[in-house]
Amino acid sequence: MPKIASATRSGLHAAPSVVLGLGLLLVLVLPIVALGLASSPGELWAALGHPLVPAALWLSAWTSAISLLLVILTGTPLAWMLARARGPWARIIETAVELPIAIPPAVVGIALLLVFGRQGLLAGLELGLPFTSAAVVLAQVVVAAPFYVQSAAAGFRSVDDDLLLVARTLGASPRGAFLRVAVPLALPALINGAALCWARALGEFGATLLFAGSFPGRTQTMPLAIYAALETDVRVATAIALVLALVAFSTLLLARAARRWLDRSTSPHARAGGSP
Amino acid sequence: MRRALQCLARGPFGWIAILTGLVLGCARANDDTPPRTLTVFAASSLTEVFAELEAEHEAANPGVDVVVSTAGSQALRVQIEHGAPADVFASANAAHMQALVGAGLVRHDVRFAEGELVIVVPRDNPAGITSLEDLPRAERIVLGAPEVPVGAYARTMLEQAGARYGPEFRARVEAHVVSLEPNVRLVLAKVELGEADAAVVYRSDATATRAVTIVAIPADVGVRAQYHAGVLTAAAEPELARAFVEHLRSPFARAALERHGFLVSDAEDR
Repeated sequence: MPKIASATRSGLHAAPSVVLGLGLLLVLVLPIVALGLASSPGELWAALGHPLVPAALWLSAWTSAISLLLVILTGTPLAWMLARARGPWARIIETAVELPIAIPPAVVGIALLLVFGRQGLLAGLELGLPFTSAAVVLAQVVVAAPFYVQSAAAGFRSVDDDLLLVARTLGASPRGAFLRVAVPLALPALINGAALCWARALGEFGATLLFAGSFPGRTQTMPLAIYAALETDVRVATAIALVLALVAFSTLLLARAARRWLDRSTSPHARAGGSP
Repeated sequence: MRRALQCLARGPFGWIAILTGLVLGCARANDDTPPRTLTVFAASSLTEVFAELEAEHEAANPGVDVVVSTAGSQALRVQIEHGAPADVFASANAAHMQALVGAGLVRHDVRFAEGELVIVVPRDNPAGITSLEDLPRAERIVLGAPEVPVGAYARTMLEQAGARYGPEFRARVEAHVVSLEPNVRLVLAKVELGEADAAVVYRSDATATRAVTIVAIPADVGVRAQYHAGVLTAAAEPELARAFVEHLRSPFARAALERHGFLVSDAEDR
């Protein structure tokens, strides 16, 4: 455990920093704990049977899964290009890719309408996207993709150029070097980004509401169902929210376990050596 | 800043905006001479008319700063139940007001206006809707969620319209419903943006925008929303609050309410 040893040496265990760190932990965790305490197991069970919940849970599950798939498929090559590219233009593009994190999701929803809506830039294509499940996926992709691309680009940047060069001199094609050297080396970062991206897609609310609307079974995802339930009964809404929180927590925990398993099964050295 | 807050509070982020507003409001109150602040929680549909009443009330009462926070009536009710520091509550729905009065949280409940439902269509009216009977012609219809007053009223209205246009009228309309929005402003926005061919909202909301055309609903199938206001039991400024609520039935307020599409003629004490 060399990391902890160095942290102790640098005095990070000193009381003020511990208090600061625990303070943040408290602020982050306490609301979730309160959410958990607000609902009895009976209420949690009842929430699962709430008329809006089964359809919303299923819709959230499959739309966020497809969104994640699309982001990995398109975001991995984009992150690779951004990590390799040099010059000011590359940095400007990379910043633009991060922008949806800063823009309020509701504004992203309006912006999507201005592109894909009836009076939007691509209105001529008559895609008829708004109010469909495809619109839900698109909203999730736009809002969540930056988290994956950013993490993946950072992962690819940490890949040693020399290793890629060695792979190429040993006869690997550019594609082979990417798939068999760069991707395995950046895998922890890719998994990390994918987990963040999926979590953000699952929690997506504002862009979905504006771009896709809210219709049970078609566009009403869990966050939208929670908001709808809030209008009638706060206790039911908190119970449904807890269901969503539990689903998210267990999935993120799983992703973390996968990353640790990767770290253990292949030490950086073994991976750098390049298994055939 | 006040306008910005109202714009925010109208949308789905009203909860956050209101909390921010309260914090900013408190911070501002510490500035120069201590002005008295009257905090009014109002249903989103009252946004424009209360902005006028706020300005008039501040002009008539020097040293009084009226802060209006708008959100869905249900969201405001929950905040009041959790001790939000407001003085006046104005609800778009009698049930929320009755619940708070029953719990001893609000007093001096007064009905000050009514809201009637109308159909709104985009200015170019792509589906060619000129009456309630035409509504099933729309390709995309947007309603309020059944959980929010405007959605519940719309359903009652569609049900009652069955007597005129046949028992399947409601089903024929609902077959074209593409979204059930969580508040009336979002229902309206979908038509303003041209994404929906028709929607059912309050006349007062439709009056607030030039981007839509109003199609009236026959009086015998119409449903009216009841607007109530009252003073919070825990109000920091109970006299100011009482005066504001009383003032809602003054000639000035009635004229402003009518100008914004509310009905005031038969509004009275409950």
